[in-house]
Order: sequence, then C-alpha cells, then structure tokens
Amino acid sequence: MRVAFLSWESMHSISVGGVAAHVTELAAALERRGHEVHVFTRLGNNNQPWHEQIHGVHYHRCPYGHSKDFIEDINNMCRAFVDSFFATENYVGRFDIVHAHDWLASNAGVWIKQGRGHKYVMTMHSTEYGRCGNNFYGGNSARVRDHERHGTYCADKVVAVSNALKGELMWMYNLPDWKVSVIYNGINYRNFDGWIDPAAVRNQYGIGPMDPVALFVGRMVVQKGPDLLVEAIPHILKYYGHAKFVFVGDGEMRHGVEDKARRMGVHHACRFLGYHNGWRLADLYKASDVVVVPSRNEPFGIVILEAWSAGKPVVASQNGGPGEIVWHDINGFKIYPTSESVAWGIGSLFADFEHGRWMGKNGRIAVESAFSWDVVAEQVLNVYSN
Amino acid sequence: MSAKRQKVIRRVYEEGRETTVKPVKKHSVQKKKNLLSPVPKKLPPVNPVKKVKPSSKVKIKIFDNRSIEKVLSKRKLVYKNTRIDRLKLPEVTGKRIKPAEVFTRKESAIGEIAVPGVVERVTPTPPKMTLSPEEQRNLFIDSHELPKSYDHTYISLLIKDPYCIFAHWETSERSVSGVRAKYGEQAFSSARKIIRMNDVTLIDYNGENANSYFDIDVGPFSTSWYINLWCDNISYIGEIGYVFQDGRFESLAKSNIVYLPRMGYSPRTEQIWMKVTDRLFTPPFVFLDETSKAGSDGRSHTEGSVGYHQDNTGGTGAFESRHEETGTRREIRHSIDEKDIVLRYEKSFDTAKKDKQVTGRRRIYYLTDEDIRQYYAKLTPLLRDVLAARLAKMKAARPGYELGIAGDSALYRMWLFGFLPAGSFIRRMIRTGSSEVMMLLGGSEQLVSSFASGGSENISAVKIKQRTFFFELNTELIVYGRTEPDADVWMGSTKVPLRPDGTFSMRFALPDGRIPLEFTAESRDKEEKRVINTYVARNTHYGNP
Repeated sequence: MRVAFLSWESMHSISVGGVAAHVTELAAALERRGHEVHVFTRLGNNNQPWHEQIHGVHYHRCPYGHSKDFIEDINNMCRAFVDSFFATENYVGRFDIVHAHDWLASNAGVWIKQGRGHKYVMTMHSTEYGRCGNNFYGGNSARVRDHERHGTYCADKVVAVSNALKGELMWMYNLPDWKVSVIYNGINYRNFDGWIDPAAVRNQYGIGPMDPVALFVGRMVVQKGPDLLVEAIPHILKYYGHAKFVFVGDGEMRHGVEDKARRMGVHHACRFLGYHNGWRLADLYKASDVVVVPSRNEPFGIVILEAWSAGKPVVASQNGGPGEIVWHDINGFKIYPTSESVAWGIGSLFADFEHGRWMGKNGRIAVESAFSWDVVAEQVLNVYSN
Repeated sequence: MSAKRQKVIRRVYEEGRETTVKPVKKHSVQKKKNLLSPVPKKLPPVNPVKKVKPSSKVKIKIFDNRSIEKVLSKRKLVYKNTRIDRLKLPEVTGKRIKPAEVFTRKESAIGEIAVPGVVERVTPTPPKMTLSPEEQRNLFIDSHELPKSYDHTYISLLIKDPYCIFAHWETSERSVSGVRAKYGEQAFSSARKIIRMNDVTLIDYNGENANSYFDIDVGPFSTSWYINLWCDNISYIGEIGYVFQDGRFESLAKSNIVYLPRMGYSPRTEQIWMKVTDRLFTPPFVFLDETSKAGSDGRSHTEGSVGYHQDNTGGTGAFESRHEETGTRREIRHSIDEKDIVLRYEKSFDTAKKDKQVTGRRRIYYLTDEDIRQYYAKLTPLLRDVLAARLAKMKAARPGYELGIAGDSALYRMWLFGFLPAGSFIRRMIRTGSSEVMMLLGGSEQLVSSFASGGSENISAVKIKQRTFFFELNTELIVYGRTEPDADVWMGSTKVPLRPDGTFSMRFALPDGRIPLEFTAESRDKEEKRVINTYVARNTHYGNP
C-alpha cells in the first residue's frame, strides 16, 4: 500500500506539537509493516533536503511562498503539498491513500481528492474550539473552523484521537458516526528507557534533590491550562514548602503565566524552561515526581503517555482524552480543570510517594500494552482497508 | 318575552320537561359567592328569557335537583368555567313551581330556581354571616393566648452562638407523675429538676458514653434556659430529668444534638488530603480490609462492611481481580480517616468484633500487572475490529466452512469472538498489536513465549493454540462424632440422624469462607445437654508461582 501523509509538521522538518511525533512515528510504523509511506511536510530550513528517506519513510519537504496571513500561508503550503504530491505520484505510481493530519493539511487532501479522486483520510488531533479553550472565537479562528468542517466533510474517513474528540466533531461538524473512527495516539516508549541521576538533572535547574517536583509539559495556551497549575501552587506550597514546578513549553500565555507566578509570590518555586524536547525533556520527565496535565480541553494528551513511559504518575484533568485513558488512582489522578482540584491531585501524590511510584509503574505497563505505535498502525490500516 | 318563545318553552316543559340551559355566567355566580358582602335582599331584576336560545348546546331534563346535578356533573366541560359544577343547588322541597307562575315572575327569590327549565341564575343559600363578637374575635390568632402547656415531654436545644445554647423544654404532668410513682413520694420531694448537658463531641452517642456532662438546676417551673459554655466547637445532647438525693438521674426527655461552630478559624494546620476512589461500585480492585491486633487470621474480608467490596469469586473477564501474595499488591495504612469509617461501620461487623479488636483499616489493591495490561489492551476501540476482521478471514479460509453472516455488526463480532479460546482475547490483542516491538526489545516473557513469528501480515495463518492445561481444586467437609445411641443430636436447629451405634457423620460442600458448626447433644431423659461449637474456614489463594 502506498500512503501519502500530509502534515505541516514532522520530527524531521519542523516540530511544533504532538502532530509531529504522531506523523513521524505512525509513518515509521506503517513502513515497518511493509507499506510505502511518503510524508509531505514543510521545509524546516534551507539546509534540509527536499526529499530524504528516513527510516524507510520518504520525506518530501515542500518549500512555498509565505504569506502574512496565517490561513493564507497554510493554504499556500497546501498548494505546495498538492504540487509535490502530483509530481511524486507521476514518478512513483498511484497512491492508495491520502492521509492528512489536522486542518492545516486538510485542504491539500481535499484538492488531491478533487483532482485525482484519491481516497482521503483525515486525522483530527484537536479542534479549533478546543484549542481556544472551549470557545468559538471569530476572526481567524472562525476561518480555521471552516477549514475543519470542509476537510472533515470531504474526507472519506475521519480519525479522531479520542472518543471525546469524536463527540466534538460529530457535534460541531455534523459528521456521521460511521465516518469517524477513534484511534488513540501512540508513543515510542522506549525513548524513555534508561536510568539517570535525578539529582543531577534537578541540579541543572536549581532544584534540590529531595524537592517534590511537578512537571508541566505543553504549549502555554489557555487550552492546556498552565494558569490553573500556577494558581494551585500556593495551596501546595502551604504543605510542601520546597516543592518545585517546572513548566516546559512555550506559547502566548507564557509571559502571562510567569507574571502571574511572580505576582502570586510563588515564582521562586517555578521554573519556566521554554520549549524543550528530546533527551532533555526525557530527563526532565524522569527527574520529576508527577506530571501535571491541567488542560481545559485535551483531545488526547500525549504528555500522559510520555509521563507513563518515564514511569511517572499523572495528574490529568478529566476533560477529553485523559478521562478515557487514565485509570484513576491506578496510574494517575483524574481531576477537574480547576486550581483547587489540581492542588488536590498534586498534594495527594506528594503525600504518598510510594503510591505515586506504583502508579507510574502501572502507567508504563499501560503504555506498553495499548499505546505503542504498532498498535496504532494496526488500527490505521484497518481504517484504510474499510 | 314574546308569546312565541313562551309557547316553545312551555311545550318543551310539558313534554318531558326537556329544555335548554344556557351556562350561567361566571360573574353572576361569583357575585353570589362573595360571602363577605352583605346579603342582598333582592336580586337585581333580570330578564330570564332574554338570553335563552332554543338552540343552545346543552339540553337537560329537569325533574329535580338531583337530575340537574347529575347532568351537570356529566357536562363539566361546558360548565367548567362557570363554577356551577361546584355549587350546591338549592333544595326544591316538594313544591312544584307552576310554569305559568314562573313566567310571570319578574324577580327570583334566593334559594329558588327562578325559571324551572331555564336556569338563568342558580343562587345558593349563603351561610349565615351573623357572627357573635366572640366568634369574630376568634377569627384572629392574635386574640388568643398560647396555651401554657401542650402536655408533651420534650427538650430542644438551639445554638445561639459558639458559646451559648438556648434550651427549651416541657414536662407533662403524666411523665412527672410517672417518675413520682416510680421513686416514691418521699424521694421525689427531695429530687431536683435539672437539665443534663452531655458532651458528645466526635463520638457516636449511645446514651452512656458521653465525654462528660454537666447539670443545671432549672427548678420546677422554668421552661427555657440560656446555657453559657466555656468552649466552642463541641457537640451537646441535653436531657431533662430529675436527679435524686442519692445521685440517681431519671431522664424524661433527650434533646437533639447540637454542633456548636468554631469561634475562629481552625488552629489545625496539618495536611489532610481527601482520598477519592473512582467508580466505587464497579469492580475496581480497591477495597478496605480490616486489620486486627491479633494479626490477620486469613479469613475472608468482612463482607458488606464497605460498599465497594470486590467479590473475588471468579470471572474470566479482564476485570478479574485476585488474591495474590506476589505481584503488585499494595497496602496503605490510614490512620485517622479510616478509623472514622471503622466507627461508622461498627455495627455491620459486630460478630467479627467480638473476638478481635479492629484497630485500623488498610486499603489493598489486588491488581496485578496483567490486570492493567488486559485493561489497557481492551481500551483501544479499534483493536476489536482488527481482531474481528482477522478471525473472519480465518473462518472463511477454513475449508468447508462458510460464514453465514455478512457485515460487520456487533453481534457478528460477538459471535466471532466466541470462537476464541477463553482468555486468549487480550493476549491476541497484544500479539497482533505491538508484538514485534516488544519482542524486538525484549518485552514481556509472555509474548516471547507464546508467539514469535513477527509481522502481523501472516497472523491469519497462525492457528490459535487451544490451551488444554487446567488445574482445579475443591474441598469437601466431613463432620463426624458419636454419642449415646438414644440421644438427640442437633446441628443448629436441624436434627442429625444417628446410626444405631450412636455415631453420626455429615458431609458438606466447603466453599471459601467461614462455616460455623454448632452441635448440641441431649440425653434421652433430657437431663444432660452438651454443646460443641467450632467452625471451619477456607481461604483459597490463586496465584502464579
């Protein structure tokens, strides 16, 4: 089977969020199953080749003319994808499936389907509504929603990363039930293997070896609720004065959140590290005691899988995907997206580290059982074959 | 009134008195119902025939009041808004009103149907409105004094503020004289009437176990008291009664419990995190277990003491939990909050409490790695579809076997899964899903040992191996004994048959749990009686070596 992935990000071009890992890992997993996978994505920088085969997967990095208008910029990108796709198809033969990821690449999928009548599958990783913190904003957000509606309408099959997201799609974009399949995200949990010296890692960030550490990983946006965690900090510091809170990630709220921490007088307990990935992030996972996911809307929550892979328990809001995958009190705590509830979850974990470690271990088992990329690939193939 | 209309009505009246009735207008009736207004001596003149139309909707026969009521009751729909259905029609006592008389009358008197057959106005007899001055005074509650006594015996406490309780009480003459009769006139004459304030802070008060109490002499006549306290944040139950000279206290009534609030914010600053468990009533592996000073005696857990007790008796589903000494068994001891639960559930395991003191409770997770693995393997929704498709392919590929059902219904899938050997579902999931990776990287031994062929493409060619190994164990119980051949032996309340030589034996199934064995033997002359009580307990552990 020859599959084309359309995505605006990947781990081998520009990596922004969860889609990058999803595209790269899923492509590799499909490739391991003997399928030919071409990933059409942006050109990260001028030093990257336009075509490269990485782990057997073909990466087509498409240059395009940028626009000041973000939506138009994305449309230009899609046009470049279509062009590159047709050129590739003319060269290697007809593709069986076109698989676009998120609204950003959806127009490319639509145009390819219109142009050459391909089967077009679309994976929704989140919705604009959710990214806005469960709000219907106007402006560009409305245009993005139009993209999402159009893309999901034109798609032959839509993949949602959780039942919560599926419900959102069916609600907002009137998708029929049969059209949407739920496939949970996966994770390459082996990336988190190995032991480190937590004290050494903590020392890098000015954290004492015995300090209870809560880790927040995610874009600093309303959707992910870092402000909720900041508001919870005083409650925790009351009982654990030496607790530390590490914020990894960047976004429009970052300065607001930092400022908020400063105003609340808890900045001494916070570490705002900005964007991190790779081994640095893995080390942070391993060095922390609990990973906090206080999202207001979380379509899936790859952070949870990463935490579990590192053997760490999670404190995750029960909105959306985490509510489905977290087993309360067994591999993490489900909380409400309020600061008090976040404080409760973290406090409960800090109160019993042994239980926390046990939950982290259970998380690792869960990840190994159901969230490997091969499991995901298996299900994606099932969608393709239908 | 036209002569023609008179004629029509008269004819109708004489022919079985069937005529037309126009519904009474609402306001005309209401005017009469307004009892507070002075009774009109005369009704305003009406013209009864003016509004009558022979073609009105309702036809009734008027013979007497009963038939009117009967018809009206059937015609509620028509009269719904007229209130006529609620009116008590006046009695027509014997006196027949002649039609001619009726028609010549210009006014109708109260209490009569003005026009028989043409019920234009139905006027009830108003009640007599002449109230005596006393009766009028009685209408107002303020003109009454509350009674001195309601002949009850009670005491009630109200919180005024954190340091003050208001108590009010009453002792009926009957209950006082009961005390007098019980203790004698002499002792009663020297008894003092008191309220006894029992401090029941943080305990389940059973009438005796108050933390402390204090008495207030209230004298025989007072019925309320402001009780000033020296301490906030406590609970009280008050009693009204008599204390005698020898110190005996006879309680007449017991009050409600009052929880006095705190005066300020709590001085306690230690952390108390609430424990929340998920889905209490579905099987989730978490339950409380009692611990005792004497150590665990291996008995099964106290049934029913906690609502979310997990039954361990089997099931092959993924949610099966099990007793395992090895594996990930977690025990958490809670000190203060769990003790509270013990107190609350004290009554439910009173039998267990007799021989051992419950000191605390542990939370135990009977949850193995495999449980978690199975749960999460089942979680992923599409994996079922994947497996179903594989199975369908397998079934179809088998020679001589045709699938009768096409399509992809849930029922069909259920049917397909029926072909799987029990328990293999989840393991297959993992194998088909992530087998390569797990094996490649040295994953769990289960996967390595069971399936090592690699890629999922050829999975349909792999036969599902039917596991034939099994291991079962069960127990029976035989109880035997002997006594005099002519004696009677009872087990509980059932009689045990004796053999001629006086021996007996009984055979029971022996499931998990505790089986009490209470035997009684009685000699023939009923002179001697022996009791032997014992019990047998079975506690099975299933586990992997």
